Amino acid sequence: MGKVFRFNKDVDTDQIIASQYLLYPTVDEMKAHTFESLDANFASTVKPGDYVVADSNFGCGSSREQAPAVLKALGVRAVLAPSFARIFYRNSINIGLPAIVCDGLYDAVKTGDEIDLDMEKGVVTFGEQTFSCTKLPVHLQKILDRGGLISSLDEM
Amino acid sequence: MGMTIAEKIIARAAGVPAVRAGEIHTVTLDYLMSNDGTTHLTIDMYNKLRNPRIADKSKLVWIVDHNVPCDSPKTAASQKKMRDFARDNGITFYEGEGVCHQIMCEKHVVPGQLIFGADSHTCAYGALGAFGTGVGCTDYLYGMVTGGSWVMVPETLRFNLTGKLADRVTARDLILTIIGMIGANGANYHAMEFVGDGMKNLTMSDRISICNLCVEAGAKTALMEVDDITLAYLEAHGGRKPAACFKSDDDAVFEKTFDIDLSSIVPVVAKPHFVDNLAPVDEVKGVKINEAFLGSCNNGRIEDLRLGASIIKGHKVADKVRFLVVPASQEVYRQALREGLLDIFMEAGAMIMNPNCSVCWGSCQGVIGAGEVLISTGTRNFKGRAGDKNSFVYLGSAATVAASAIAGEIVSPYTY
Repeated sequence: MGKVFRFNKDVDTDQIIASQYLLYPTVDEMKAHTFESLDANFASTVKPGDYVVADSNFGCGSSREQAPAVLKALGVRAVLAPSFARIFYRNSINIGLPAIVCDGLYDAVKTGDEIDLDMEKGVVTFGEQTFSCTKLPVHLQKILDRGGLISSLDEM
Repeated sequence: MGMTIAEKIIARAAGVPAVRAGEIHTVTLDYLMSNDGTTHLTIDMYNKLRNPRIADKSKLVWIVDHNVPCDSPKTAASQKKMRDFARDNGITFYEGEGVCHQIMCEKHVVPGQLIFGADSHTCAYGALGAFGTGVGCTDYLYGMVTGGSWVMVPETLRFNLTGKLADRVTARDLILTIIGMIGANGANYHAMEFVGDGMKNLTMSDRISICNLCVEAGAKTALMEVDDITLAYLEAHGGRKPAACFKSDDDAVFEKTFDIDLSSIVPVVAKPHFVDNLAPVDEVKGVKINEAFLGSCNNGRIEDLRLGASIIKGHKVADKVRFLVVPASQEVYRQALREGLLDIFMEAGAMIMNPNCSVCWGSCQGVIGAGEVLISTGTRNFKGRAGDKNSFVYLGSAATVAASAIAGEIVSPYTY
């Protein structure tokens, strides 16, 4: 079980991590500023295993990989939304952060609710309710199973 | 069944006769562009590899353009890492030459190529008939090490353009109108292809502006056919030759086709905080501004500076308003200097900055404070994009920005 942090539609990567922090030398130095403009307390309250639940087109805008990277560094287990912007989605899978397409969940939960995600079954549980998630294409699931794209470079 | 331009470029890069939308293919990349926004992280990952190696250094182009000149010790450390790595590994490197996409168009990209850029606006290269797409630093590193990657072949949305834009209506008004029409995710995962009789009335600068902004509709790439205007641009910029010139086949499959009469487009602005939050400029007339910005990979070319200068000539920037003019490259800057455009802007009270991303990315120059309003030719108006999270960014054309700088409030580009 993990706690939900809920965000609206069209959350862009500038809001996940703003430009002025991107050139900090490491992701660990950036992560305290995650979602700063939307929820100033996010970085200090999110715990490993918590979830980001959002409405459609999550992660639109800039290709900054720092956006999924700060979420992963803070321990976010998965991001769940009805749809993702393309580059954020690809970046998330590449670094080993599950970006899961899930309809209906956004409307059902609020920040602070507890949910559970079963990735293998593709099911989110919230109290008595369950929501099915779209399974990743095989190619992407393989990348995720390895913990990200970079590990495959070490296997070559 | 025929293929779209996107399918033809991916087939070429995959070394297969034909591909179809929805398929995943392994491809060889023609270029890998990266800038100071993420390269320091790419290098850190590279250095942790068990067997770090570069497949083909001639395909890498590294450009320091986001925070130029450097604004802080932390940035300095990140940029130094990039500079040193480029030197030690013989990677093509630019610093202070201009915004990455402008440099790539002026010096590198040729038709038919498949290019990864660690920057979302890499889709700009469609103006030259190349498939450019934005990636993160992990994808970039994978390409750097292997020379290739995997891509899913996108469906194509086709835009058939006819007619001609009216005076002081720009290509930027056109693409903002299209984004407003299809929405911020209206082209998610898709290629946007622009064709039609109207193309002959669009300059290379117009075309780059259109393709560059397609990611704001979620597009994976933007594409245009190669014509005499493209070839003349390539000839004038180093005499570059196309790798391949593609057109979509008559029986290619498009998910949807839109017909747009260019003469129907009017000056528009995108209101805070979404690029698809569109309104005709007349609807937001009177909104007071604190700053105006003319520049960026979207609108910092010589044509944009000429348009802005033609409007502001003989006028002054409004009291207490900052007007930043930022040529997109040194080539543009020097051309503007030769044409006397910079004199016109300075006479009006504008600040001329060195070529870089500047106000468009809200980290280095012209950052705006709480409650302030910016009218901008930058790429985005997201909350906090240009500075404080409680500031407001309106996107407009070079003409609208110049006129608004004079008025001190958003006005129609026909006001002066």
